Order: sequence, then C-alpha cells, then structure tokens
Amino acid sequence: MNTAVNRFAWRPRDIVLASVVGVVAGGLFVLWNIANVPLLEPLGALLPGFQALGHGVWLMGGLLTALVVRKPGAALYGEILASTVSALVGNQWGVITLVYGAVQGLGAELIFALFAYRAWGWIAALVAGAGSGVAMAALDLTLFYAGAGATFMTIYGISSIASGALLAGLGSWAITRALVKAGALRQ
Amino acid sequence: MGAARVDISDFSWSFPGQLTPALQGITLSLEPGERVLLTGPSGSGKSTLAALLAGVLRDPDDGVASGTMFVVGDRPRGLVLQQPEDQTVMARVHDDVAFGLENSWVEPAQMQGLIDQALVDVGLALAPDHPTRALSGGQRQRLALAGALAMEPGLLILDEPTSALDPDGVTSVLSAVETLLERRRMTLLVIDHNPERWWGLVNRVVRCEAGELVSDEAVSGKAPPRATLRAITPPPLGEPVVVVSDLEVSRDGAVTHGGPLSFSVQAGEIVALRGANGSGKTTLAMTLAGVLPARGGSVTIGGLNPHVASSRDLATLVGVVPQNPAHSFFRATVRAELSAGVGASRVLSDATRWGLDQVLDAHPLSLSGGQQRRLALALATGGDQKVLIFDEPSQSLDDDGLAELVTQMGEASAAGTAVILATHDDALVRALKAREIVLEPGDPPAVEIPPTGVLATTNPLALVGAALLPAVALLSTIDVVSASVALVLMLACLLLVGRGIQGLGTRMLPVGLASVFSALTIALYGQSSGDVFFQWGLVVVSEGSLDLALATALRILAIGGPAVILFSRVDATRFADALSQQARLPENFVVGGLSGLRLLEVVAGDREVRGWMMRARGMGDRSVPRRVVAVALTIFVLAIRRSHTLAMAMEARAFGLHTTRTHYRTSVFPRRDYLWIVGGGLIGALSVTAAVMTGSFHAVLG
Repeated sequence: MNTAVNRFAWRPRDIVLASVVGVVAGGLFVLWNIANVPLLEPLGALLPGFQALGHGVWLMGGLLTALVVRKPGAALYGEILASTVSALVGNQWGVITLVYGAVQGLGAELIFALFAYRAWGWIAALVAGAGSGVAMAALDLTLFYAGAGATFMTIYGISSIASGALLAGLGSWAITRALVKAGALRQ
Repeated sequence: MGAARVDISDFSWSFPGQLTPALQGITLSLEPGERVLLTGPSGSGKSTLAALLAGVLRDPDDGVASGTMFVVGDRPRGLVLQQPEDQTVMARVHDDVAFGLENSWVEPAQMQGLIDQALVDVGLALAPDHPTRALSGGQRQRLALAGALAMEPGLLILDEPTSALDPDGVTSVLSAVETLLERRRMTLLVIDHNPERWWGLVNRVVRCEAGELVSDEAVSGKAPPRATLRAITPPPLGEPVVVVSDLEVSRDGAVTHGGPLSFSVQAGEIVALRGANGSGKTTLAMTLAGVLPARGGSVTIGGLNPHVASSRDLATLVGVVPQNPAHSFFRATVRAELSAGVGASRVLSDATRWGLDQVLDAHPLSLSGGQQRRLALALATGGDQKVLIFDEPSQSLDDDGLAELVTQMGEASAAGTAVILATHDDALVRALKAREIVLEPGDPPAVEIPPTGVLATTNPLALVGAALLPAVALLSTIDVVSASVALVLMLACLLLVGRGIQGLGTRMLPVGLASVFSALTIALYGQSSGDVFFQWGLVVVSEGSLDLALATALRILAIGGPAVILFSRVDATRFADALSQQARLPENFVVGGLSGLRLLEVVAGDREVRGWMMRARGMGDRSVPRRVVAVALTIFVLAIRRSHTLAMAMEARAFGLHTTRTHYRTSVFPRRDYLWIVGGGLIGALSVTAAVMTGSFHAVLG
C-alpha cells in the first residue's frame, strides 16, 4: 500500500471536497449578491472606481477551493461551480455569471500553475487572488464600464486587483488556516 | 454471481499520526451468505473495519496496514453509513439509486429493472422524480440501502444504519433488511451498538473492544437484554419555573404546529416532549428556549418572556443542548468557550468536572462526539440556568453514553433545574421518570411542483448559447443602435415564446437597476467629449459621457435581460446532464458538483440551528456582521465534515472508478433547440450590422 502518491491526481474524495467547498462559496456569492443590490451598488455608482474594492468576495470560490484541495484545476473548478450555484439560485446576471466564473477561475488557476502547484501559502494566495482580480476587472470594464474614461478604468482595475489579492487571496488563506485549526482539514 | 467470502488474518491498521492502532491482530472469516453482527462500544474500531472491508480506505494516505484482508467474490461491496442526510447523492429518488450503476458502467437499458427491484426490496415505492430532500431519516436510510442493492453486492456492510433514526425509522429499516435477506443471497456484516435489534436476522455475533475482537459466537436463544439503564430518583419538586398557556408554535412564522398547549414545569422536574416526526417537538423546545417566537399564547420563565429577553439575559436563564452538540460552539478553543460560558475564574474547575481539562486548547469541533456533548452540557449548565432544554439528546449514543446522559440530567434535576427534552427514546424517558407531553402529528411537508414551460424543457445548453451569442456580439461595441436593435428583437422573441414565464418583472428588476447604476457611473466618469455640463474633481459630465451612459444602460439591458430570463427555469440536474452528455465536461466533476449542491440543503439546516444557538448562547445581541462571521466558519467546518461522509458513501458506490459514466437520464438536444442558438446568433449579427451601417459602431477595444 506504499506506492508513491501522485500529488497532482484527483482522488474521488478530492472531487467531493472541492465540490462542497465550491458550493459553500456559491452560497457566499448568493449572500453577497443580495447585500449588493439594495446597499452597495447604489452608493458605489457614484464612486470613481473604488466600488470594485468589495468585489473580491466573488473570487473566493476559486481561491478557497484551490487552497483547501491543492490540486491542478481546483481554482477553475471551484470558481465555476460557485458561480453556477449563484446563477442557479437566481441572481442579477444569469448566464453571464458562468462566463465570469470561468474567466475568474482561470485567472487564479494560471497563477497557481506558475507556482507549479507547489505553493499554497499566503504569497501564492495573494498573487492568485490578484490574478483572479485582473480577470474580473477585464470583464467588468468591457461589460459594464466600456464607456468609462481612463482614470476610472485605472482606479477600477487597481481596486479589483487589490480586492482580489486581499479579500479573496488573503481572506481565503486565513479561512483555510482556520479550517485546519478546527480539525476539518489535514494539511 | 454470488455472495462474497471474507478472510481477515492477523490484520492491524493505524491511522496516520495516531500512536495506538485502530485495529489490532484481527482474524475473522465470513462464509458466503453468512450474516454477522459486529458490536462493541463507540471508538472500538468497528467503523474502521467496515470502511476497510467496503474498500473506501484504500488510499496510501489513509493509514498503515499489516496482515491480510481479502474479500473474495465477483460482485461489488455495498456500504450504508449512519448519517441519513450525508449519504444522499442526488436530488431525485431514482437518480440516487442509479448513481452506483452509472459509475460502474451498467448499460442504461438494464438500470430501470435494477432500480425498481431495489426500491421494492427496501419498501420505498416512490415516484421516480420524488425529491430526496423530502424524505425522512428512515426513508433516506432505505434509499441508501437501495443504492447499494441495485449494484447487486456480494457483501453488504451496514454501519450503524439505525442509530440516528427515530423508532419508526428503525422499524422500517429493520423490516427492509429482513425482506431483502429473504430475496437476495449475500454476505452481511451489520455494525450496531444495540445488538438486540438484529438478533433474529444474524447468525453470528462478533464483539470488538479497543481495536481487538474479543468474542465470536453463534447466535442462539434469546437476545441479551439491553444493558438496563438505571433510573434516577426524582427529587421533590419546587415552584413552577416554566409556565405555558395557550401556546401555539411555528418554525417559519407561517405553518403552525398543533393546537394550543398549556402546561407548567416545576423546578427539578423532567418533562419529555413526545410525538412523531414533524409534530413540532423541536419547534416547541426552541420556543420554550426563547429562540423562536410564540405564534400565539405565551411562555414565561421565572415570570419573564424568554423571547423578549436580551440574548445575554436569556443565556443565563435557559441552557440549550442541540441535537448535534457541535452547533453550540462559536470559539476557537475549549478554554475560550468555557470562559465565555461559565466565566474565566471557573474554567479550570468546570473543565475538570466535565473531563475536558486535557483538551482546553483544542478546537471544540475537533473533539470526539462524547467530549463535544460534555462541553455543550457544561456550557448549558455553567451559568446556573433555571431551565435546561435538550433536543434529541440520546441519538447516536452508545450504552455508556446514554447512562452518562441520564446521570447528568438527574444531577441537573436534583440541583433544582427544570429539564425539558424533545425525544423519541422510550428507554430514556423511563429512566428519567419524565412527565410526558405528547404532540399531535403534523401535516406532511408540501412537495413542490417542478417548473414547466418552454424554458424548463429546452436543453439548458441551448439557452446558454442563445443568451451568450448576442452578448458576445454586443461586447464588441458600445452604442445606442446595436443595443436598441438587440433589445427590440429580443422583446419580439419574448412575446413569441415568453408566455408562461411568470415573475419576469421580479427577475428583471436587478438587471434594470444594474443598468441604471452603471449608466450613472458612466455619466459621471465616462470618456468625455463635446460640451462639458458639470465638473467636480474626477467627475466630468459631458455630451459624450451622457451618450455613452445611455448606450451603457441599453447595452446592459440587452445583454443581461436574456441572460437572466433564459436561465431562470434551469434545473440543476438537467443542466448537469447536458454538461456531461452534450458539453462533455469531465463527468465526475459535474456529478460531484451536483452532490455538493444537494449537501448545501443540509448545510442550510445547520445554519438555522446555529442561528438559534447563537441567541441561546448569549451572542444574539451582536451586530449582524459579527453574527454572520461567527456562524459562517463553523458552518463551513460542518460542511467539510459532512463531505467526508458523503465522499465515503459515494466511493462505496463506485464513484471515480472510471473517468466516464453511463447515464440513467438521457439528455436530449432536439433539432428545435438549435433554433435558440440560431436565433441568438442572428440577433447578435443583426444588431452589430445595424450599428456598422448607421455609422454608430463604437469599438470597445482600442
């Protein structure tokens, strides 16, 4: 029974764990969607780009899943699954959410791949969160703010990336550590 | 095809990082067709042996084995676990039974017969699409049994299949096993700490203690009487503490359970709330605890209305122990939990009293089941509360745990605490000499009707395509013409096919708001050109930015509208079918996601109880964000715990055996569904062409 384990291979239980983490993150997305419509969006509409600072929450599906499961493809899978849950429950963007999920998941996935799927600490989390933030900013700026001026686009882009790095990256890293401490994960 | 033979010889097993082996020197043989009961106290290694025999501990990370273990036979192994909610994989009854068949590449044509027979054998004749979430615990266990049976196992392993069930559930599972043993030939291993339940169904009893087999006997004669629970001596009763008059209770504010109730509970008295599933025992208990409001009538505790009391005051008045003690804990260490519950000065003495002094710095959720229960009790009694309320305290307890519980309740009662418990357990009620309050059975929960209409029957991928094609086209430009043309064409289509899409207005409201807000942002910060009307800091409102704002509003409506409408009736199972069968996405991930989605329903129940416990533990007065954070992390921990059980149940049903699966449900993509894609493409092409021809095309990139 002591054959070498392929660190990159997904076992069935990894798929189930990733699925549960992704779905729970989807639940988080839904709560954040609800908080955003009546509260944050109307206020944010007046800001010159800082409204993106809260958007990192929508990147946590990929970050959390990757940091918990630590497998290639986990960030992509987790973010797609979480956004699918968000769309299935019903949100303000419908099918578009699936595209966001795929692109944002890819943003984080590429960074973890650049780290050769060996680094899962706070640095990797921070950079992957930023990578996911770049993807989110690119989509938002083409879909919602294509007519915006250069200053707005710059502030919005930087805010998205910062939010991705801090809220999604460091936030997910902290949550994962708390999960390990609570005895829920062996890492 | 036949029953399996089991040969285990001098087998030992250690989990990683644990010094004591979980199993040691096990030697056991089961002849094909033999029916063996494995019994023993909690933590004696029974479940480890079951998991190993079922083949779900085969990863090198799982632990270290020595000796040999063979299961010889040409049929798979089946496994049913203890927790009913954590082993249902799919949203519909027949899909759930088909799960293992799909994983093991059974031909779709053969599936229906196997599914029907398995469901008949466990006595669960339900409609194929019956939602699994509407099943009771006993029904869920029989569903899990059917899922194992459909695979025609040579060895069936039942690990505490009745321990988490109420008496009706226990009876239904026992009779299902009895029936299937008459009809099918297989080797059976049952694990239970209540051996007398299985006496007529097995021919051997093996006992396991501390990882070793200590006895192995043929079943003869009568079942051993269950270790008798020593009854307590009720203390003299004091003044009435809890006074209930004309009380009506309701869990969600809408459905009311039972008629008005009036009773009182005196100091030192033990009262048991009894009644079938759905009769509202838990709801009544939580109303008495002051975490749910009374729907009619009144509850007073020591003259106070517990629901009006602040959460802090309530926590000193009433102690609550939930069915799953893990729901009581909100802090990162046992020490912090005790410090908040009983005060810093008493942490050490209370920890010693409850046998928790060795684990003060451990995370509460990492404790064993027994330790968690003692901690929950320490917290519920630590503030000298007048009333102690338990929800199903004896479920999943073995004999020792039950005896300990009776002693603890007896001590509380002797100290003058009024004890109220919602329970199914007759033996517990007798041992406590509790006064019983019997609730009327409630109405069965309503089963929702699946959505119908064109959006519910079209292949979801066609709808995704129809929504995304115009979106992709519109993303290339930002101008009023393309967005308006797309909007008009879509409205026309909507009038053609859209009848019967109810609730469209509510669905569209957020998109409408988003378009207005984005337009506002663009008006303030858009690319400026032409006359400038207003300037302040970064804000420049100009002719150009206003034009762009209008274009933005229309464009978001044209992209977001169909995206929301077309996805509004998509069912998760049908979407998953299409994703694996037409889009050919990795199937085990698609089906894994579906099972995760089902577990989310269970997690939602966890969240409800956590909300109650937060108020009961005195944290309900905190601000919303602080409450959300305190609940969120533990919900996550519980979800991951549940995922471990779910993974085991799924692996036991051949999940991950292959990278592809056969399909019980066929996802079709009929020709008419291509019309959606063509329509979407046409709308996109026409609107962009119109923008180019009128010269208003305004490229987004560059």
